[in-house]
Amino acid sequence: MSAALVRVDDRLLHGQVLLAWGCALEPDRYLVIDDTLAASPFERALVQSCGGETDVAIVPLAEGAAALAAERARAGTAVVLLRGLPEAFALARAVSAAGGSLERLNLGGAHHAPGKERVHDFVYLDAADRDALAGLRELGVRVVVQDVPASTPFDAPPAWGARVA
Amino acid sequence: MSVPHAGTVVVPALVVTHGALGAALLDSARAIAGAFDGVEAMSNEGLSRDALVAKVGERIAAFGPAGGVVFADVAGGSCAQAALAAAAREAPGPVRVLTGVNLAMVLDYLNNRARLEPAALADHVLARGRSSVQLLEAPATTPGEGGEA
Repeated sequence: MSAALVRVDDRLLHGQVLLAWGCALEPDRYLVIDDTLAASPFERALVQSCGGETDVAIVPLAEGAAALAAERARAGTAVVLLRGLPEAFALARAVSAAGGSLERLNLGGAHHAPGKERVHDFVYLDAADRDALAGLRELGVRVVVQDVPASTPFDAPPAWGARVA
Repeated sequence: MSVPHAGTVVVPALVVTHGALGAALLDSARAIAGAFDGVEAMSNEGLSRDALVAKVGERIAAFGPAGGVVFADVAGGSCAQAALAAAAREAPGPVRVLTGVNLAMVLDYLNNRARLEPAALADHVLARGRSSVQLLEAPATTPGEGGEA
């Protein structure tokens, strides 16, 4: 059917996703698009063990657009997870290049790290993140900030994005 | 490092949870068991996946070669994942990770940490945790029947 949620969350598959979004959306599977997990058998097995009865697929970013296209042709729904905004922008560009579009992106967790500036309780941005946000906006992707289903969503302010020259 | 406690050595522990749950569990345990040390609470609040793994890893490394026990709240959650990843990579000794931490498990850990090694202690605490989760049903007789006041 389609992806019920395409989410940026630096924790990827974790409690908020499994217990809050998972209970609200009841996805048939999780699709994690992430180079680090895809490259590590240990990390892959660790995250795949977390899905319980729900299947967890993990693919590298280079295969993300194809995996998303394949997902849209499948029955049922999926929650798609990406580690960060640059990865989401890369995916959106790949989807666009293939003739598709990523219409909506959930920004659910971009926590503090060195060099990142706080713009919201659970959103910290650096130059690469701001560039990605501006790029997503140029591609027509609506970025909606919301950590859990019970919180009030809002569109990422244009001021959060700024292309790196 | 194993922790000297009341003249003996005990298995150290870390309680990693969402929000303040871990600290609250330890506070509640102190209300029942009295003062203790050798157990630390940690929250995942504001931490990315990588930062949480690193922070848990620091604590697990401090357990030393005798190992220890890590309690996490939700199986599959970020705390449990970080605990397992750090235990596999950073631990200088045997570290067992238990999820679904509750007060009965913390108390069982406290009662047995001076006499059991990490693996046996984890098994003991796991059994206690599982048996503590029950569906309670009212007895067949109601208050006031059978001579009750």
